[in-house]
Amino acid sequence: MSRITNYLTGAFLLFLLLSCTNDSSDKTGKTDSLNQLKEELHLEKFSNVNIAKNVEVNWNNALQTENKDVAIVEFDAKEKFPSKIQSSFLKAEMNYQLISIESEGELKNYFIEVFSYNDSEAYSKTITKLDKFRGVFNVFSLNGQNLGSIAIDHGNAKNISESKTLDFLTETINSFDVSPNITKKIPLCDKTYTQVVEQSEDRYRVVSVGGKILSVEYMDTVVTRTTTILPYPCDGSGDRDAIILQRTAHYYTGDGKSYAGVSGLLDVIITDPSFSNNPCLVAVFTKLGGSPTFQTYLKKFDSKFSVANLKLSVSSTLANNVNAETTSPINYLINIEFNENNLKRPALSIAKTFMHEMIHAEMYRKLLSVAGQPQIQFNANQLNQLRNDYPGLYDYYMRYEFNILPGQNPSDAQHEAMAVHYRDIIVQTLKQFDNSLANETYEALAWEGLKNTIAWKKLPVEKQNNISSIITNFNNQNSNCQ
Amino acid sequence: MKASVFIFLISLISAQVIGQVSKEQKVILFNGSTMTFKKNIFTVEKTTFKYIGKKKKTSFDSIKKSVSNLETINNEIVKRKEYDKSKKPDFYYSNFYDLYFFVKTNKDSGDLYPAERVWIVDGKTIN
Repeated sequence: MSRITNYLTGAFLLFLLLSCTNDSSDKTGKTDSLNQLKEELHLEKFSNVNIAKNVEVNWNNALQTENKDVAIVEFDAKEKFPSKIQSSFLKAEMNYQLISIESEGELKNYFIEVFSYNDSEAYSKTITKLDKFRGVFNVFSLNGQNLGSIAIDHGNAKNISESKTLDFLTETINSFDVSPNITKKIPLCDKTYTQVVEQSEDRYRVVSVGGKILSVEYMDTVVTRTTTILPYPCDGSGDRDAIILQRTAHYYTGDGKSYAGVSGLLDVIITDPSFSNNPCLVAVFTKLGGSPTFQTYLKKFDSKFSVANLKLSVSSTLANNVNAETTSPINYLINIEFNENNLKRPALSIAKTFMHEMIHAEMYRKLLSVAGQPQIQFNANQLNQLRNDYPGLYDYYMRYEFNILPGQNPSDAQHEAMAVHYRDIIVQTLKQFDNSLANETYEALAWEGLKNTIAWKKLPVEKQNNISSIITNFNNQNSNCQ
Repeated sequence: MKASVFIFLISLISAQVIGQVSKEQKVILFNGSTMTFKKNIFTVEKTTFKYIGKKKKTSFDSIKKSVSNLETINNEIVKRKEYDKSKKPDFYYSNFYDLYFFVKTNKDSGDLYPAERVWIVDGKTIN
């Protein structure tokens, strides 16, 4: 009997020991995962300033859920200074959350910004109980990359950005959906909301002598209020491109100039408020940020290396037939000015204008690099240098501006060069912007703004008419940016 | 050996000095009704010159032998054997001349501005 008792006691102790061992390794694993999450999350890299500066994660309260083969860990995140949304259809409170999902050995992490509709119940701080929730998640990677949006309607998730990186999260949310399978409509994209963040800072006067602090007196409290008007990311307007444009235009920074798609490039340029307050231009610019060709041109103005600064602005006083102007550098600054009254065109047409102006800006930048002055002026030696450094530009400037011999007509050197050598660059950029059209549409659009050139005049009249007709049809058959 | 190197250097320097001296001085009289002078740029019928160096108070008598105008200068250049007619004469100004603008400040004297031909890219490209 005592032998049996000994066996049982030994088995119990062994069980206890194994239990302790398992528990310990489980805890260690969780701590490792938590540390890894902490290391991977870089809120400061988010282009949305409110998230970057005003949100913190509560690491002490993890919510764990398991469903089928999926394990979910969620951490609540809060605004240090609560912001308020002023909107007719959104709840005032915003929510933030860090979500880690493990499935079949693969771990995927997301940071979400949660908007709730007025008629929705408050966000339950978990993606697993959304049956009474209506709203939209803006989803980011842990280093601030904007992955897109997921719309939620009573537990049913829809990947409205149609981004593949969001499929997994969308499917995970839908795996918890218990609502009947009925068609659900998400609100139209014709509204904006206003986000107000108030930050208060106590100020103190410190009296010190020789490094020794004598007294610290409270002076006052300074309250800084930041108000941002944002288009609401949503679905259902019927124009998918417009939704995506509007959606990507969401990411203003505090000074209204930063957007997710081009966040890495925005330090490169100066955006006038007239530009950053124009949703159409901002949306096109943001989407163009995804074009490697456009990025390459924009990066040339990176202030660390560039001889020129680039500014984007908007004017309402340009002539009706002018889409935009690019100004030769003044004090190293090249200004691209868009005509506010000529934005009733499809986004792709405006993207074409952007790239056309960027090519001008790049030509000016090259000229300025040779001139070595705040403006472009060449003496004879610098002209020789231009010939060596940029023989193409030298050739066109000599032929059409500097060295117009008797019997020749002056022309615009940059447009002449663009018509012959840069249309392919424009076509490439437009395809990167929207690759759903026929090649001839891109080719035709690239000719816009170049019809005063010799290259255009050399085209057979039938071809000219065909190009003009394609442009007209394109403009008539597509919805306008503004 | 040292002497020959020294003589060579002296010859080289002399040649350069002579070369510089050999450039002919041309003075254009500034005429406010047909020319402009703004932000260090003299403009004569769309041809632009940048004021370089330092202006000098000068009597008219001291420069009157060098006074010329662009048409005369251009005509002189096209007659030179170095001239290549595929280029306009103004591309040769700095090869052959030291250019100055004389801006009269009183009856017999004025300021002499050293200048060089510059090609300016300014304004806007309109699309």
